[in-house]
Amino acid sequence: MRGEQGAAGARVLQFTNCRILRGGKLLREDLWVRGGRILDPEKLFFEERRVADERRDCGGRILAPGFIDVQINGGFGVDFSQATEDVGSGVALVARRILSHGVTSFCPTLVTSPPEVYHKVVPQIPVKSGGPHGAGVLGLHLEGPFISREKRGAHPEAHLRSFEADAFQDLLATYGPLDNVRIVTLAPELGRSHEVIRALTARGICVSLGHSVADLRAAEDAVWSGATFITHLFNAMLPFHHRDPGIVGLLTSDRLPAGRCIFYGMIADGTHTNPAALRIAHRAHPQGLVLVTDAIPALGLGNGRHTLGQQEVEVDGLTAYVAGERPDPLGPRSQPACQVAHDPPRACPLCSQGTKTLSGSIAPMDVCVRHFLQATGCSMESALEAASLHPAQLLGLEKSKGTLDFGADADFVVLDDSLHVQATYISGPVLAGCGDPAWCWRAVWEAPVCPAHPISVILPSSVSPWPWHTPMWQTRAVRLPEQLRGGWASGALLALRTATVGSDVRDWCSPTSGVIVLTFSPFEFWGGWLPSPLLTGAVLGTGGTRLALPLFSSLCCKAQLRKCLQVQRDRMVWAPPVGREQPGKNHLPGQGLA
Amino acid sequence: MKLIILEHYSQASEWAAKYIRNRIIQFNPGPEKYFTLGLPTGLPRDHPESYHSFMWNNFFKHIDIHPENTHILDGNAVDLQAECDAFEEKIKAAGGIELFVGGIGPDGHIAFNEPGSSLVSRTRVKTLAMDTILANARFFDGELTKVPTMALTVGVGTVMDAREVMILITGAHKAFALYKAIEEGVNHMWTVSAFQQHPRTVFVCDEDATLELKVKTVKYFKGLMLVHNKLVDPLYSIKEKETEKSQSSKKPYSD
Repeated sequence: MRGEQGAAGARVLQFTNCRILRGGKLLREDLWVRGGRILDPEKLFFEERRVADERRDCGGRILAPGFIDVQINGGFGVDFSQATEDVGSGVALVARRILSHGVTSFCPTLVTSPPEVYHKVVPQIPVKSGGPHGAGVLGLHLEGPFISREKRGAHPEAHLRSFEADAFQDLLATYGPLDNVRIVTLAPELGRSHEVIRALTARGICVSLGHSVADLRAAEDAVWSGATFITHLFNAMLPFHHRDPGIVGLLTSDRLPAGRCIFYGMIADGTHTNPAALRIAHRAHPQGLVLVTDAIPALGLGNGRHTLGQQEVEVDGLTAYVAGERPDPLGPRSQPACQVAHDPPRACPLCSQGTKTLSGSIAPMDVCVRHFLQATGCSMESALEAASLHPAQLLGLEKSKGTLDFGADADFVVLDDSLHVQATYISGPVLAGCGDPAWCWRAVWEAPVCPAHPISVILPSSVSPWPWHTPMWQTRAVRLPEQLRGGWASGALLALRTATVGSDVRDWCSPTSGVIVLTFSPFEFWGGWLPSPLLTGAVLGTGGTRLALPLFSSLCCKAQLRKCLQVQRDRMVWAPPVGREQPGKNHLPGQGLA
Repeated sequence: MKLIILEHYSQASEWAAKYIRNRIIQFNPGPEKYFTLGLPTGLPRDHPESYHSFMWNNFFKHIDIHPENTHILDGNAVDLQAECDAFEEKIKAAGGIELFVGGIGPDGHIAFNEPGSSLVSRTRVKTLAMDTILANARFFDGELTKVPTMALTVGVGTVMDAREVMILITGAHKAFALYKAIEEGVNHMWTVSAFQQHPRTVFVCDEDATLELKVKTVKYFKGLMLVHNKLVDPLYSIKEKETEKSQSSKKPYSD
């Protein structure tokens, strides 16, 4: 995949003033890169007698291996399980957009589908290295159709299958050629699953247990046959029972093959798993925890209503619900007409009433990492390893991915202290004919940075139709990431109220001097512009916040604000109205690291 | 001789570091080079206990030195004696050693010049004494068979040719060696004592290393600390000297 361009002639890049994750610790060391690989500087020093060709100051940030997402069903409107004519461009779009979440390699996931879909889609998604075009594709994750009927979750019942008749041949007939496949999720209690697991493992495909009602014994036998992963622990399996822990019991089972580490995926978005359950799993078996997003096509689409295939989905912060009529804000929440009990809750196919039914996860990977860190209270190193090293170990790639050891591929992310992604690097061989031979030395994605103007932002929570349920005096002072403060020398704490985990304040950044106060009245969403820094001080007082906001809301002008702030997905562009001070530049990539 | 006595290991290290910094600034380096006293002992270069690794991890990696300006004896060279001779030539070609920094062993050896080494010796291959092998065993998981038995070392004579010598001695286990080096005569069984005949020597030690010295000696040199501390007063940084040419006020070099 990577060419052997690490010859002596290639340029050497040294990242200094940073902390790198190596050997399970954050070390204050420099990271040296050459020819798409991490370089051992000692060899370079003593044997080749060379210094770096270029040094980059990372500003004290953290350099961690790029995140690896082994379960992602789509995103940004793209659904991997749809048999369109041009699957490749959909995958390419997702690959490019998840770079901003810190993901440098991923496994596109296909849910239960009829065999025609597999035969059409699977050959169109080959294994691919990453680069500036997007994250690398490590192989497909086929979730289903050989899963349990009772625990199918959101998978369509009509397309479930079994392999009782012909075992592995059945599987081949369903999926087609398995060259691009990396992980297969199946239920081990199905007949002849052991033959299938053994056949798949012999081909180097990782077998995962999920969507199953297997008991612990069946699960252990499956592990003996070769299974190594558990798909989204706790979801779509029998709950933990003290006399038969089920698949969950694999975390602490003593009947597994010696030396084998069982890995398990967890969706740490704060919604799919209760943080207490996350902590139990983490404490029981921390080395096997793999953070996955299990993202649906609504990932990254922003708040509001979206149409995904046949369904309308409403995105609100980090949760996606099946869309329906907006419940009356002044009355009790309207009951959904359809009372069908779903376990787990899923979109009701019979009605499109608005329910609070989860419709999949849309938390990006970096949000999952942050939430995992906060929920379990683990060390930063553990959280970062759960998203990078453990998935690499699961796939047997720990020599080249998920690590910053010498000789590994130079896929890494630059994070600030609160684990927000600042830049993503994927190094690769210099492409022949590439117009800019230095592209591999630039980050493939960098967080936009405000030029040096003092700013202050006060945010409401993500748009919610019931503002009075979240009292406005519950402010939580948060310090903006350093680069956003730009020239604000005082480093003032900003009053920020967020109701959702991981909402990114950088989505509402402005490079002007003064204050943008975004508040909302019960039904609307207002913004205000205050040019005077003196007023800023008044607004920032925690006591004054509640009072100040209604005051300034009268100065607000929603239309004006909309003109000023054009949020374009993961880039912010400031375009103030004519007549105002022009800040000079829009946010451009490449202004991140020095 | 200047004997600098500080309370703890960390203070002794800091004093020594500041002194070296000041000397570098005074030396005003240009195309001149510095030599590294390397004592590889037949270990492969990337062995974690080789001096290459040691110097890299503890020194070179943290500074912007150019690899061409570092010279470490290569214990894996084909002809060891030629390697040593070449080292001597390189030192001469660079204009001699300006400041030699070293430590001592519990048996009073400087570099790897074991007891019995000639006090006018040059860079050569030396067999290590049992004491030294025992002392180094801790780096090899306590296995004596793994510890190398031979070393390339600069000779006592080579070090005496340096214009200034600084020896760092910390810890109670070096106390007797320090006593023998300072308060007894020049003796080839305690090779550090050769520096009694060097015009500019600085011994930096902590309290524990003075345990075998006479109280009179310790008190004398402690009384001189006021004077000695002037040696580590901040000097102007070379970088700032260039930038402050346009400014009238001089900013002191900040520690």
